[in-house]
Amino acid sequence: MALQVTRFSAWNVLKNGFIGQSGWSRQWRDPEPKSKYDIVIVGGGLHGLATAYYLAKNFNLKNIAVVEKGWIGGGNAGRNTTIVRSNYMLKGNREFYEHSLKLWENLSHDLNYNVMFSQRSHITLYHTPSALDSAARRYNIMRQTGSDAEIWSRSKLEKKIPHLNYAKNARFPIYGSLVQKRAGTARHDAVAWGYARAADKLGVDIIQKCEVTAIDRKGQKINSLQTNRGKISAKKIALAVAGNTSRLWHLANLGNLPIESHKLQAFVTEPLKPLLDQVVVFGVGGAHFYISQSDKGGLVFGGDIDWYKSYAQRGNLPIVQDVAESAISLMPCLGRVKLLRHWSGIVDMSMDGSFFMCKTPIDNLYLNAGWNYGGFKASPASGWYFADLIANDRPSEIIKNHDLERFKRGHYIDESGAGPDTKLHG
Amino acid sequence: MIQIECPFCGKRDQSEFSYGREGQITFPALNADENSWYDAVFLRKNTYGRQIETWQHTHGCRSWLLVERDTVTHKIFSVKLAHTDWQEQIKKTT
Amino acid sequence: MNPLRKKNQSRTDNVEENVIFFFWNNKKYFANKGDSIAAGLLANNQHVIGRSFKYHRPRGIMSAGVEEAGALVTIGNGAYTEANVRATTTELTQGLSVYSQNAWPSVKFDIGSILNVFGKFFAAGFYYKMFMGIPPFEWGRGTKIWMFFEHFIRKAAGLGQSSRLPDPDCYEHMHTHTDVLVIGTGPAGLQAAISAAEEGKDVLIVEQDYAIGGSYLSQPDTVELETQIEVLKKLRVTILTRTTAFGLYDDKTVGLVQVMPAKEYKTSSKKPRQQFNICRAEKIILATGAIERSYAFINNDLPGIMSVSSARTYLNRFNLLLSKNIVISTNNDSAYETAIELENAGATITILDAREQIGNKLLQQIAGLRINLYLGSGVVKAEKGLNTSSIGKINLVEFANNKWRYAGNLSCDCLLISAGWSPVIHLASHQGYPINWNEENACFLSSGDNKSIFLIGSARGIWTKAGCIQSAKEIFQYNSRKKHKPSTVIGGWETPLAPLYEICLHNIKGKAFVDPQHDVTSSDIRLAYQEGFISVEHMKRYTTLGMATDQGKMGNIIGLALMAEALNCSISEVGVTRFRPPYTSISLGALAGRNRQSHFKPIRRTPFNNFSIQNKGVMINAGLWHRPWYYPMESESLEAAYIREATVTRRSLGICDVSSLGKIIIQGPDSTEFINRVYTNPFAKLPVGKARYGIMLRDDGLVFDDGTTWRLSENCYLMTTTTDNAFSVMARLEELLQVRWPDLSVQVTSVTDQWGGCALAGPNSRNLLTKIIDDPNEISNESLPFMGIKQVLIQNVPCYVARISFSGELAYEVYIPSDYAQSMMEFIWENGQKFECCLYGLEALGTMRIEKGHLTNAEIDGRVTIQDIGLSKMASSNKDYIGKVLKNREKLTDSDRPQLVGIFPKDKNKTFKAGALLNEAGYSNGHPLGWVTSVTFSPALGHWIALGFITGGLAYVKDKNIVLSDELRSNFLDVEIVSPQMYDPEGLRLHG
Repeated sequence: MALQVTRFSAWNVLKNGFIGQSGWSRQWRDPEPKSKYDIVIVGGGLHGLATAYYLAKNFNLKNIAVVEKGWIGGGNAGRNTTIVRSNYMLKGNREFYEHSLKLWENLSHDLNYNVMFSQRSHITLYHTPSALDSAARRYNIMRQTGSDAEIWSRSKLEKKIPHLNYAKNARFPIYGSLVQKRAGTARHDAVAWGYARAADKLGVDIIQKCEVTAIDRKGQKINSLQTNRGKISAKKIALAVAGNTSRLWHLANLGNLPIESHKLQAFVTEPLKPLLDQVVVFGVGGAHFYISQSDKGGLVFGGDIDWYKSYAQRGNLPIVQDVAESAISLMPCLGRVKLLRHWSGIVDMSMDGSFFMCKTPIDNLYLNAGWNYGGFKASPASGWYFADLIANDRPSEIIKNHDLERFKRGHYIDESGAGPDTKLHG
Repeated sequence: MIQIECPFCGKRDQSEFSYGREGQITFPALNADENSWYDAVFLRKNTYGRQIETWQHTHGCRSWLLVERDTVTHKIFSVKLAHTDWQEQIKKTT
Repeated sequence: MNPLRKKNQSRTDNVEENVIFFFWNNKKYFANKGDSIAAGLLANNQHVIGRSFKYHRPRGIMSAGVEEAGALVTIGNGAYTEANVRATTTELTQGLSVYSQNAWPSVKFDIGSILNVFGKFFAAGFYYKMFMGIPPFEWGRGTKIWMFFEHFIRKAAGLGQSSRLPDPDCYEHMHTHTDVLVIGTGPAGLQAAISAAEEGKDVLIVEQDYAIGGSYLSQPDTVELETQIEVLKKLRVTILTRTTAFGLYDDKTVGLVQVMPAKEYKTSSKKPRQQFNICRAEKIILATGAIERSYAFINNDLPGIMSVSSARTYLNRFNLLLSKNIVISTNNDSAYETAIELENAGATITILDAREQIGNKLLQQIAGLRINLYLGSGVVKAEKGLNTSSIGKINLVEFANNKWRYAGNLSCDCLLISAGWSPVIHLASHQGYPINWNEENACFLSSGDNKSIFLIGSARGIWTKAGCIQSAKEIFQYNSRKKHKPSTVIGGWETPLAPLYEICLHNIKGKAFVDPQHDVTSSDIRLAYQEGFISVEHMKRYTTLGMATDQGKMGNIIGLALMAEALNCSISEVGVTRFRPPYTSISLGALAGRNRQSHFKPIRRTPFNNFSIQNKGVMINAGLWHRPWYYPMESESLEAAYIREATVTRRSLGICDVSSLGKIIIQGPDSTEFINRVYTNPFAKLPVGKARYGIMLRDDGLVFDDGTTWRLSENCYLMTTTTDNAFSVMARLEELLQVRWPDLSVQVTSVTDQWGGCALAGPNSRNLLTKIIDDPNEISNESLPFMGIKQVLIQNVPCYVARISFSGELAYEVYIPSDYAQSMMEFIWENGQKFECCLYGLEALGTMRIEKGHLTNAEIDGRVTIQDIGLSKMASSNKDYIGKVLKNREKLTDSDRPQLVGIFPKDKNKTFKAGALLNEAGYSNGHPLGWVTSVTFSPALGHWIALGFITGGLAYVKDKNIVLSDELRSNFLDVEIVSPQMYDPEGLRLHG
């Protein structure tokens, strides 16, 4: 059963300093898979782990397993640029991401794990008056639906971040920005470990190195999963396997999905003394760039997806170049700053840029997929609403249109208006 | 960087090309039923491994290509012109 | 330790002209030309170079290469500041300013080192366990408390301080194609380049150091190196030094960054500081060498502890004997060569070899020298010397009964370590080639694909020079079509190494470092194990092992070994994390190249650009285009200017640059059929010389683009698109013709750049045309009716005149071949002066189109149906077209979808902005009823007006009170919802 866990606190850190750190136990157990569970969640990423945690916490359910083919948090959980924000405007998305942001605000306390959520402001720059005006709709909707949003003029920006490119001859002069102050960044790995530890404490089995190899489907029901660690049967099965959704969907013989997998690169520089306190987004003239500085001092940034479908977790040079160009254009002082690492993750892009969280053609199978760029910030709400869907076997009002069938009805949740071309939903 | 062998222009950097979509998708007749249009427009096989896909040589001859590529290794197996008649003719002349 | 510079050596003569000065923390020092910063500092007896990341412990020079984890410095001043520079690989130049980093007030006395005292509390991951609430029990909610602590944590973290000033230097991009790319210029690399060139191949060889030679440079004499270089030069091999191959990418593409010598690029502001070179090669040979490892023992991070090979480099390359009295701790044969050379140079050597026996050859080689050899021996702890931060004493252990036991201590001011070698397989790993643990040599090996990617020399795990050279020759002895089967033997030492990752005794306490830059200790690895972070990825992330600027080049394997030990499995079972590019960090400036400032996303200018600027046009970015925004008179504001421009245009005449619209020529026998399928409205019966406004849908039935298409002749059309979609409409038409409908015989050609477009609008537009056109009869109302097009001669230049109106006035668009655009515009403008006439820009264009309810991408935003924008009549039911089927889906035909409307303020004096929301009166919470897309002051109506969308459209809100709400800008007012055609809805003015 669950471990006896030492509470995380300054007190216990101090105490363990004196006893050679011997008081810390495993943060989560390493159980052998049982042959039967009530609920099996496939995918030990942020969404899967959060789902397990909220199933146990909000619905007091036991007998839950999370099966992960590699190590928990090894997919996009560890490959993102850690931005947390809720500047979505469309019905469903708006409420969902706002709830997520609220969960983030107390996540460290809830999990007793410092996920280092730092509400350091998310700043989207604009370069013409009309661009600012048209973006104002989104931020006005945020205000009207109870979130925070404000405009920072160019002069306010210059005071806050003096070393952006305010040059008159800049290719895209900065005109102003829209800001969500409650947005920020978090420590991505800690979120995965925090959810795992908290879920484990509530009795969830987290089974790593356990890959689903076949799905035993009988008509409208899945009886069990074949894994490299034996057969596991379950009353309910939930998929939260970003980057592998289509593969598992095909394993269950369910045909095609409105999802295409692409790769998204991320970048980090060598550690520097504090240079940038906020998250800054720069998008104009086809450029797309976002940057923040981690607590360790590395500048963390990213840009567009690589524009072609891919399952390879490695990037290619054209985007590296694009992103560096944007970096220098936005912050000309970065010319001598050095890139330490770049890598990429596989994102499941959907046909309208919004996610799916729904029941499926199989009675006891639930789907959580298609997070495009936005999976990290969504993690807490994703776990919250997915748990609710699984436990109650019906979607809550907020996510009822995030189903697979929405395009059949002609219901889009398209924040950018790019339409059914997945690569354009960056 | 992926290199694509354009039948007209030779081997070029991927950055000259734009990815289109899955090549196995066949678009139904303009007056076909809603379901077949829905399948073509919204559903993807999303193959893990070898697939046929379309690319356009945007910054080159602008031809649309059918490329057979592994989506995991990025290895390219074949490149053809998407326009069937053009592909026939280029085969004859080369 | 007190390094000695040897005199009168052949390579860096210590004569006057070879002496340079530099500044270390603002104090002037002298060094030899050719010295690295590290060599210069050592020569001046400077040993504490920086402070570590977490505990702020003193850090000295640990190596002589890219693996350096200790000696990181900041160089340059002001905007030229570069942080986190490896002292070991950077050349000292005359007058260079070098600073220590991560230390305050000084590197010798750093306040931050107080953290070291509390080190026992700061185990791996401690920050996940606290700082979230009020200490000590973490009371509270929210993020405020964490953010309070975070502020100080951020200040303490980070290494160097970067400049906040724009980088003054420039960078360049380059593209290279070559048959063979060799990476590394040691014995294997040079031989590979020679063998390839002898086969007649085009060869490029790159070296990351500022000198060519790799490990040759660390040898006592350079005769062999010079011979090889001569051969290379004769074979015309391209050699690039200071060039790092930072990443291997798909299809044999390698990213190179070449750093230019400072004296070259500083002579001219136009010369690049660095060059980013994308190299495409048929064969890539990785002769990238191997990196000597250390092992974990207590205080193994003290200044004065270095790798064995680096002592050899400092001795032979830089003429620096580190100490008269040197202790070497090793587990393999490679250290002996260095020991002998150091002894020859005058040092007394003590070798502690972890192995219990070594081969006779080695024993013979050291016989009679001042070398004391202790077998089965190692170091368990190093201690600081008196009055110094550097090493002064070591505690020894000996191996007996299968375990280490204490064996006394030894005074020592210079300790060299060799605990095995790690081949540099990073580039192979970038592409995911398999990596395997080699038990015998205790290292990871990769062999590339042996077809086009090869590893040779010590990068392949070959330790002898002869073996390295042989492995290079071998590649080219095989037929290039066959797969290469390497026969060279891995390894090559007389006695195999004894794996050595850590020496610890339970009764001797202290910090033993695995990653000295990030201060990851062996107990951190054990704690990670204890807490369940046992996979390499978890261990790395939890302890931050290998995530510092050296990316774990020296420390990673120790971490893996300690984890393997804890798990009681082999290192191969623990596995290795994938290496990620870049191999060593590269500047963002180089990656961006010249594409910065005004060269970032190059500006598209219309053929009338200069004319607009000459006429005081203020330009604005529209996508990549520069378009005239407004043409102020004197000190007129934007608002005053556009109101005047729109007023003059409606009253008399205005001229506007509309060249950025997409223009596509569509030709061929099936053109009519094609256009008919692309647009929703019928084109089949469009007569030659006439146009139609068309709507194009996406496959899913939502509106894609709008524009006017002109039938120029039976089988030739000119299609115009919006500025925004010009590129995507073109690509779309090509896709349809080539992929979907190859049976249609149609050609499409973009002519956007070939034609300048100029709109003449207003009641006097025909009068102006009459004055400029060679045959005025061609444009009479009869011969050129509304929506007609004609090719005419203006000043004998064939142009098109189309009668079309975006402003709602009698108006024409004149299309002029781009080459004539400037002079033609001057001619038109000159003639325009005969009337009341103005130039108008994007803002006035917007004003007039909003008054008319015409659409742009503010309304057609990818989310609207043809009904939403009030154009459902344009959706033909008598033909098939793209989007027809899916546009009828349930939710797209709902009557409560937001629909296009016009908006008037009830109080006509009030102003408002786009992006405001529309609500029913009394409603202030939740999703709005509608929103405002485009706003302008309407000179024609005398008040502010807008377009927008509102749920259910005009019909739904007929009797409701609607409030406009703009919380962002604190503007709230009552509005009236009206038809989007707000001005001249009958279109009477169109016909003049």
